[in-house]
Amino acid sequence: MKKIVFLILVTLFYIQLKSQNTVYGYVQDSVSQEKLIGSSIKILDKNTGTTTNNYGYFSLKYSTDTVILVLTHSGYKQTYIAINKNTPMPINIFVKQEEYIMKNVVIKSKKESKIVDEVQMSSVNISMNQIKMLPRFLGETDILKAIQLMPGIKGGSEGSTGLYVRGGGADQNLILLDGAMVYNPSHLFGFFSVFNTDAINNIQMLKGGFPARFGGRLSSVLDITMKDGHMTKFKGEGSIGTLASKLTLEGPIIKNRVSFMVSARRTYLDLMLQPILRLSSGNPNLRQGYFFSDFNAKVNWRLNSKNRLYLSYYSGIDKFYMENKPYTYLYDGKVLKEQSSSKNQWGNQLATIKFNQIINKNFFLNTQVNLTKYFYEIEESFSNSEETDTGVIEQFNLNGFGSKIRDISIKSDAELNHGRHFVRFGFSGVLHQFTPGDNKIVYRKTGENTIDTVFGSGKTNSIELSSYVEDDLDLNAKVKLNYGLHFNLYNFKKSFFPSIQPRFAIRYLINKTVSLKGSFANMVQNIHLLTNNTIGLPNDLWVPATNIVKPMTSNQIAAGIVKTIGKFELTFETYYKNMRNIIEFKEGASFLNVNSSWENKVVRGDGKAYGFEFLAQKKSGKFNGWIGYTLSWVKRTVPELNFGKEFFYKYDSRHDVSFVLNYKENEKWDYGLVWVFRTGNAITMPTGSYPGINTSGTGGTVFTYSGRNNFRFANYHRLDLSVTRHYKKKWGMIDLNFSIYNTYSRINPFYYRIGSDYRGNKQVTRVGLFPILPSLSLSFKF
Amino acid sequence: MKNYLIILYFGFVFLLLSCEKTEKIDEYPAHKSQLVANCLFNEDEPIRVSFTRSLSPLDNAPFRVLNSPRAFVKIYEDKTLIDSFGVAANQTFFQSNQLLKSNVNYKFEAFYPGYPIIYSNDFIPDAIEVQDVVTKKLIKKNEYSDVLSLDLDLKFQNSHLSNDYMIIKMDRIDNKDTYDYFNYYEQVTDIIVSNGLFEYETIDNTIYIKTSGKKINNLNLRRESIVYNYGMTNIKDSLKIEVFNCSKNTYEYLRRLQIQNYNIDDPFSEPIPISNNIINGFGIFGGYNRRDIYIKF
Repeated sequence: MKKIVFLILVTLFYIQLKSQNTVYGYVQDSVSQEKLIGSSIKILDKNTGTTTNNYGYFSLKYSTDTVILVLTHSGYKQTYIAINKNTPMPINIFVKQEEYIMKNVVIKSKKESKIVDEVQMSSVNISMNQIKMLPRFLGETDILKAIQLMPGIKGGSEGSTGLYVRGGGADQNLILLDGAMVYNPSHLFGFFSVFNTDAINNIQMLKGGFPARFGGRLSSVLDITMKDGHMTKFKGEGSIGTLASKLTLEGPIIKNRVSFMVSARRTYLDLMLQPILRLSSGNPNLRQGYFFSDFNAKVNWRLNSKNRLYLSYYSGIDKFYMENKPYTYLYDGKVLKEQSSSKNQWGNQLATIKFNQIINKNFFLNTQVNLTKYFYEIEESFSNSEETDTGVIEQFNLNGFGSKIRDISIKSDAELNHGRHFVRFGFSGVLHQFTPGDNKIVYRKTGENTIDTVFGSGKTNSIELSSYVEDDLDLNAKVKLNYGLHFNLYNFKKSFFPSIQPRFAIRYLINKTVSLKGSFANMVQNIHLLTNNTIGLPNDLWVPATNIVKPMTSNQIAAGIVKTIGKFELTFETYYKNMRNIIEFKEGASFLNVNSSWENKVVRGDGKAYGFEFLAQKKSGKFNGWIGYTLSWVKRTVPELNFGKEFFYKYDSRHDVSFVLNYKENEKWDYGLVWVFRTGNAITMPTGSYPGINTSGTGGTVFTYSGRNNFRFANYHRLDLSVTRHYKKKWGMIDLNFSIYNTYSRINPFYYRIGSDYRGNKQVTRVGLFPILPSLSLSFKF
Repeated sequence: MKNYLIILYFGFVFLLLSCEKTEKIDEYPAHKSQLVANCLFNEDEPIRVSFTRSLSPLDNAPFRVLNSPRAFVKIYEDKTLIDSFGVAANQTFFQSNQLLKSNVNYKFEAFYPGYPIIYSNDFIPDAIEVQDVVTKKLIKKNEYSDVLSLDLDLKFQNSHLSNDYMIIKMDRIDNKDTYDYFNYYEQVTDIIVSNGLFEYETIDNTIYIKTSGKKINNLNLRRESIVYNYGMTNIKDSLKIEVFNCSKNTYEYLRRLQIQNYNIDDPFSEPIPISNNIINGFGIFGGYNRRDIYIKF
């Protein structure tokens, strides 16, 4: 009997599927054919819809013979397409960008917002166009700094690109560039991100409600996709700024089949200051400076209508260098020659191969292989030669230190459209190779034995195997669910840490403009970052979870309401997150010179964060921008710290307000304004002092503290302004941007210091980093 | 062009320097001054207490020794008063004439005019007698750069320690006759406790060990030095080893104090609160026992 019932159910299910048609294909920019990620596709006058994935692909079922699809994408015209069962599939839908001159844009109907309809909550939606319109910092637009302006996301210290999401640490963000993990997303001590905005197509950020396909970090997912390259024309864009210049080129290799994109950025302060430093040091042979550079490249190959291949590469480096060119001098009647150099460099390298396949109308598959490396190196060398009676004696010494983390990963993600069910499943395997610290010594001298040796912590490996399954289920017209499980098995030496991480999200549609949302996500993180939490120093060290320092876990529940009023999207969300096994440096431990003994320098504890977020956003129109507000609490409890008592996290900030406004006056002029305010960070300051004693006698000064993070920085606030003039040329466009960072020159605290003035009077000094910083940049596009 | 660059450079430097701002912080936590008593006591030595008062970190006044003739200290041995004493003749500390014993609980009580009575208690643990030290020197020798490995096997007489807190301090004593200071450079790695089945921490050549009641017959230590001995082939080393057995109060105080002093110039180190076992005041009343060993290689 049971078998008969089962067969009937399967038959009914099959009949239901057979009676449905499927529209599937890609959504692309009408000119460049760049894929459009996260576009909303809905059937007109129905609640059925979907969004394009990271490859611009979608698949949607419909039961009538003909349907009209409504396609919406921020910055693009709303597009209507009639589809019937005879329309050839897969379909390529080309969408036109909104005209730059707003008066010429004719919007016949009010745009429908996907934010009300989608299950996903706690997501950050900023288009690249909006990011490029924001006031610039030293002439550079920055993705991470733009994201920091969203509620629930804090930027850490002044000017930093660090992300502290809903009480999480800087290490708890899964940052992906074309699917490959980026370990250090910043340049120059965290003041600039490694992402060159000209090379980026799309960003998607989640701070909660994580679907099962994401794993490996506790607090956020930032998924960044590089441009694929123009499929029909050779195009370029670039800029010359106060700090850096950049150039991006893209175009077809084979028209409509294969495209490429290359982009490079370099700072040139070192080149400009070279003569001055030489002059001030009085050494004409000296060459020293600092620069950072990025290089992005991508090839996009449409093998046929169903298969695509992507090759992506990123390389970025920061480098301090000092070099004394060879110079010769006479000493004691002998001719001596000397040369020395030192360098301190760090950077990321990523390479990805992706293969997209439309297996059939219901089944999409992406398989990719990623290589990721983050390295830090410091090296000093000295060589000299001396003419003697017996000949020339040459000597060379080199001392170096390096650390790195290297990943090799393979990943496969599948999407299965099954009517009301939209199922995603996949697996991944990652081999992490950690080298916490290796020393290198080289010694060579004419006529003597050579020493060339490397010693230190050596390499350690860990393996992560993951799989997931999740389902988007249209339960009825009102209720939509996303539920799934993320499985993870982590291995380090002889230890195995398995985990099953449940995820759940629900949307209840009250009407076309209002929906309620809720979510739960359990997350596990198997690697830790040893960092000082203040500035993004390059020797921050990624280390594996071990038997002593176990993987971190978190549970986050969130609830919210979304409403659209005209072009405005209003979001209210509240959340509670707890974290286990998070690490902190021991009291008194310094993050400097952390190497193989790192396990002895950290302690484990728990954390919790809760709060309320509000966002009112307008994405289109002459005026666009947003107002964000966060009310939050972030606390930590670590048995070995603060005598076991609960304390506020360093980046606990009660109130956080951001106001972002872009105004397009006409085709020639744009204006941007950003104002931010947040309660000062917590800091530990001594409240008393007295002389100490040790077994030999005096023991220096003892400082007393009323508790960890017992003091608050002054409130942080800043106003940034920008104006951009667009010049239309026959060959393209020139934009001249003038930005002012920190317009009223507020000295926002970077750190506090207790010291003495010139009379010896003790005082507390507030040290800020950036006063008013005007910048000019010129960008062009052809 | 050169002038332009100089203006640009100095403009940039000025811009960065101008960011530093001295700020008077009105809301800086107020400090209520308290009496400070410092007393680390050893077996067979007279007990000595020094008094000061705590200051705000922003106070410009130096720490001043308090030596009021009206002040006095009382020492109790297992609740029995054994001594009451005032300021010593040198006016810098208060000193008892009583010698203290190990494994006896001592209570300390002090009265100082203008402050509430402060008190504390602690004890002196048994000494750790080192029966023998077996040493092994291994030089992974290259002509100009060596890794000098010193293995020490400390054998203890009393195999079961009555106390859980041990501090071993290891200082290299330079032999000036054998070293050429112009050419010599040594980089010492952390001391390794090779049979450490207990919690330990190395700070600046001192090992802090929590034995947690485990039986310790011996302790294998290894100290590795990377030595660049240009023009010198015979490496010699002398060590002074101080072995402390401490009460928990002494151990935590000394460990935290050493960390605080070690990191004093490191702006990126996390602050460490110092343990305080003086009720109604600040300071330390802590017992320890100590044995010194000198080793020549």
